[in-house]
Formats: sequence, C-alpha cells, structure tokens
Amino acid sequence: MTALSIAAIKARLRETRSIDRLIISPLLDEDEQAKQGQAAIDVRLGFNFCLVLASAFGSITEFQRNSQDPAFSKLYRREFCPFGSCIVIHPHQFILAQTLEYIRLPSDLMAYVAGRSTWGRLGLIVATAVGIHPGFAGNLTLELRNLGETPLTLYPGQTIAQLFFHHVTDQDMKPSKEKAKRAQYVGTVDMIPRQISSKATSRAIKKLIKRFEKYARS
Amino acid sequence: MPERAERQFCAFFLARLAHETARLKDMPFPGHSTGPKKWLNLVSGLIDTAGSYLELAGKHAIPESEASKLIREAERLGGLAYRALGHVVGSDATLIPHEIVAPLQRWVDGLKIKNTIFFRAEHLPNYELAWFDLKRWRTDLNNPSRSLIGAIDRINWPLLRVTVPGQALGMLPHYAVVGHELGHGVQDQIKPDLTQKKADLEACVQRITVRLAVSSFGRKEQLELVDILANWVDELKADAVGHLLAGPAFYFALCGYLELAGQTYGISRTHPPSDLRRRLLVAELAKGSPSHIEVFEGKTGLRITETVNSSHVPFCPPPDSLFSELKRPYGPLVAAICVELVPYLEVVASIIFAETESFVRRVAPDLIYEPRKLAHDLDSHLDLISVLVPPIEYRDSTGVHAAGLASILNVGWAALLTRLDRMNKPRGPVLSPVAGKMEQLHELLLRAVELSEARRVWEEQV
Repeated sequence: MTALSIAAIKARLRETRSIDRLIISPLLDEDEQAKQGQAAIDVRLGFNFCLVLASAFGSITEFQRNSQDPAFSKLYRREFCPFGSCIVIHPHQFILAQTLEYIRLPSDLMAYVAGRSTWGRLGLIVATAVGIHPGFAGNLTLELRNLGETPLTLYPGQTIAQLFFHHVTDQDMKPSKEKAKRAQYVGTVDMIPRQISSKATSRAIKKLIKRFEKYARS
Repeated sequence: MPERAERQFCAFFLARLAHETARLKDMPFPGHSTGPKKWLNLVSGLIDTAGSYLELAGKHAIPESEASKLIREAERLGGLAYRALGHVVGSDATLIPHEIVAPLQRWVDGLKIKNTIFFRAEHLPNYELAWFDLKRWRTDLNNPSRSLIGAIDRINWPLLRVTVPGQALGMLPHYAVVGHELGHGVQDQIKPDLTQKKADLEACVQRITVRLAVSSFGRKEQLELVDILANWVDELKADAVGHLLAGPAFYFALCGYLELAGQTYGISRTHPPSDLRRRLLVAELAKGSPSHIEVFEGKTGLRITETVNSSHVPFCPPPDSLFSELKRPYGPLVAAICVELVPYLEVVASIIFAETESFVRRVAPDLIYEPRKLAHDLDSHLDLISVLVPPIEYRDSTGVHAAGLASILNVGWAALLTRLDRMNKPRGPVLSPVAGKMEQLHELLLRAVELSEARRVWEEQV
C-alpha cells in the first residue's frame, strides 16, 4: 500500500476537477502543515468538544428493552471553545473533539488519522477510529484520551493530529471511481454517535437476544 | 428606626437581580460580542444605585418620609433593571447560531457603525433594529453608582440591538435580511434629494385630497404624510443597503422571509407594500452589464423574477380596493396616504437607491457585492457545495482567501434554489428528503461561516 507524498497531496489539493479534488479547508498555514519531506498533513484542533458526563447509566447498551433510541447524547455535554480559549483534559479523561479543517476525500483516496509524536509523548491519544473512507465529507471527530499523569491544556488551532493518504484501487488496480459515479459524499452529522450497529445487524441481534432469553427462561 | 418590611423585600429583590445578572455575565456570548456584557454592566450599575438608596434609607438619621421616598426609588430602579434584563434575553448561543455573529459584526464595522451593538434572537418572525439611548441616567438619577457611570461611559450611545428570529426560522440564508436592519443603523446619514420630484409629491397630495373628499390638506394631514413618507423612505434606504451588501441573497432572503412570516400586502404606516419592495429590488438586480440577474441565470439556469421564492406574497389590489381594505385598520387618512404614496415612492425610489449606493461606496466600497463577485463565487463554490464542500475559502493567483459572508449567503441561496436535486439525501431520520437536504445545506453554510471566520481571525493575528 503506497502513501501519498506531500507533493502528491498538494497536487490533489489543487486538482482542477472538483470531483477529484482533495479538500482540507482551511489550511491556515500550508507550509507548516504540509512540510516538505513528510508524507502527511498536520490538522488542527477545532472549536467543538463533547465532554463525557457522569451518568446513571449502568452500561452503554444499544439494545435496551423498550428503547429505540440509546440516547448517546445524554452521555455528553457540548462545549464551544473559540480561538484564544482552552480546554483542559485531565489524566485518564476522555473527550471528543473535532479537527478545525473540513475534509472531503475523493473516491480514490482514503486516509488514516494518527497522533503527533509530541502529544503522544505527553500521554495524549488523539484517535481510536483511525480510518477515513473515500467519500467522507466533514470535520473529523477525534477521540482524545489523556493517558499521562498531568493535565494537558489544549487550545483550538494547535496542530493535534496528522493525516496519511492512500490510493484506493478497484479490482483492476485502477483508481476507484465507484464513489464518484454515485457522488455518495457523506457528511458527518454530529460528533455524538447515533447508532452503533447497522439496521440489519441491529435486527438480527435483537432477535438473537429474544431467542436467548426464551431459552434462558425455559 | 425599625427595619421596614418594604426595604427588606426590595433588598431581597435586588439581591436576586444581582445574582441573575452575574449568572448571565458568565454565559458565553457568540462572536466575542461585548455588547451584551456592556448592557449587563449597565443593569449591574442600576442595581448598585438602587442598593445605595436602600442603604441610605436604613440610616437612623434619615427622616421617615425621606426613607420612604428612597425605598420607592430603589424599587423603581429595580424594576428598570429587571426590564433591562429582558432586553438581553436571546443574545447567548442558545437561540442564535454563534457562528454568524462575528461575520455580521464585520458588516457593522465595515459600515462604520460605531454604536455599541448586540444581536439577539427570539421565537418570533421578526427582524428589527431597536435603539436605546439611556445615557441620560447619568444626569437624571440622583447619586448614580460608580459602576453605573462606568457602564454608561463604556457604551457608544445609542446602543443598537438587532433582533432576528430564533432557531426554527433562523435559517442561515435568511440572515441576509440583517443587511436591511443595519441599513436602519446608517439611514440618517443617507440624504436623498427628493425635491427634484416636487411635482410628483404635489400630485400625490392632490390625489389624497380627492380620495378624502376634503377641500384642503391641513396641518394634521401634512404631519401624517411626512411621517409615513419618512418611514417608507427609511425602509427603501435599508433595502438598498441590504441589496448592496448581499446582492441576490438579500432579495431571496427578504422575499423568503415575507413569504414565511405573513403573506400579507405588507403595507402600513411603517412599511411600503411588499410587492413594491420586491419590484424595486428586482430592478436593482437587473442593473449593470452583466447584471446580478444575468450572472445568476447564466451560472444556475434560474431567472430571478418577482415571485421566484415568494409567490404567495400577494400583489396589492387596485387603489380603490386597497383603500377600502386599509380604511378598516388604519382609518381613512392613513389609508389614503398609504395608497397614494405608492406611485410617488416608485418615482423617487431610484433617487433613494442611488444616494444609498453613493453613501456605501464612500464608507465601505469593499462591502458592495458586485455581479462579478457573484460570478466568481458561483464558479468557485456552487458545484462543490453539491458534493458537500462548504464555501470556506477560495484560491486565486495571489493565494487562498476566506470567503466573505455575502459570498457564503449567495452560494447558499443558489444551492438552495437550484442544486438540491444534485445533493444526496442525508443519513439518519429526516422530516422529508428535501427538508433533510436543506438542513444539511444549513449545516454546511454554518460550517463555512465558522471556518472562513477562523481563517480571517488567524490571519489577523499572524
């Protein structure tokens, strides 16, 4: 699997055909965020955060009885931090954040989000769901966790993570056009997840739960 | 002297007020807006002044009658402070999208409006500019507190408050209407010379006289005419400012708002009829070569007409029928003036629009949204927004630049009116596929406003 060089990434940022263009916007300082010799683009911390709240939930379960909506939103408090303000992530705390940059991947590119080593050495993990699929459009949600023993103060605008890009090919090893044909760009709706499983998986697991409960009662 | 019950209750009331004011001061206000906090400091100053009256009323040396007077005055100031708190409701980030405030403030600054200003939203279909001039409190009140004097001195009076509809009607493309409200903020500096159409005004007066079946046009009638004409001219000035700041986006927003907000003729003592305002704006959009209308049609395929997005806003009926309809709510004099002013306003509209343009070109030439800018914006962003790329910035030979608010609003309206069919239905439960797409577009435009402003703020610092 080949990764795009900085020159290749920059070329895709300037692609004239809009459908094939890689969008990372705004790149506040292109030279700093796309340094020569790297194979990744640095992205910055955005303004929107979701802080995990203490709650009365026994556990997070998608398949509660008598509930269609697991109401994940009750697990978080939204916080908006403009430029100049900050947010502190305490040891072992988990929060959701967004990249400042809006990203849209064309049909033949996918990306991986990785932390920056400087933050990593301070104990900050920036992403656990690291793969970004072709056709993604939106600000990336980062899952921040402070594994260190010292609180870390984070400021919107700081470079927080990096994106590595890879080509996606079809069965003939040609650049994939599948998404472009159907123009299936999918924007991120929200940082807070709405559901964990697909409808089909959800239906199947609910049936399995019922079958198991029936068996247990027998 | 025993502690008077009313003094204790007033002290309790003031303490509650102070607590509530402190709570509001701790709230984040969108766009680093200092207006709401300056207003809240004014409220604190009033409370402090009232508190000092109460303190004085509690002193042993004060005669009973004087103490009673001081307590009554403290109660009155407390009431004023309580009402003043009501004016700031809706200025926090719960009803008004926080992203939009800083770009709107750039319009305010660009128009060289120096007044202290804040934006607030309410759940009413209403855009409004309210003026508050309370600096007289500095001299009218006995012994104003130091905090009240400081708060008054830190406000550039009159303080302006722009009200916009909250949440459900607060769709981002509609915010172009704010351009009209800011027009009211500069209307007194725009002085069109209407004397060149004196004969038309005399003809208008003659028609009113005939309609009222009176022999002469007396002082009362003259004052009413002057008042209504001044209101209507100010409305056209404000429309002209909105048009200059946002071009077609203002037209679409105003018409869309009129459609959703009431679908009435719109004619009253304060406002000329909606169909006239639409007609005049379309005429302005048709000016120039290429005009906004030609550019918009060329890039989107949609021709801007008078009813393009407000077909349910009715045209005014013929004058006699309109007079009959207006007589009921307004009486014959106001009805006659309103009916007969319409043709006069149509005659002088071009003078008002030209003078307004001349004013804006003088104070804020960079804010004028020209047809060539519209062409550039639609070329740069319209296809991209169909594939979910918000109009955050654009690249030209000199580098990458943040998109302006007018650009974002125009791309938004162009997409809303002509590109929804090319957008995919968003995931998740939605009221209807079209509503879902519109909501997605609203979110994209909010993101564009937020991130283009981020680029601007960043560049101002580095």
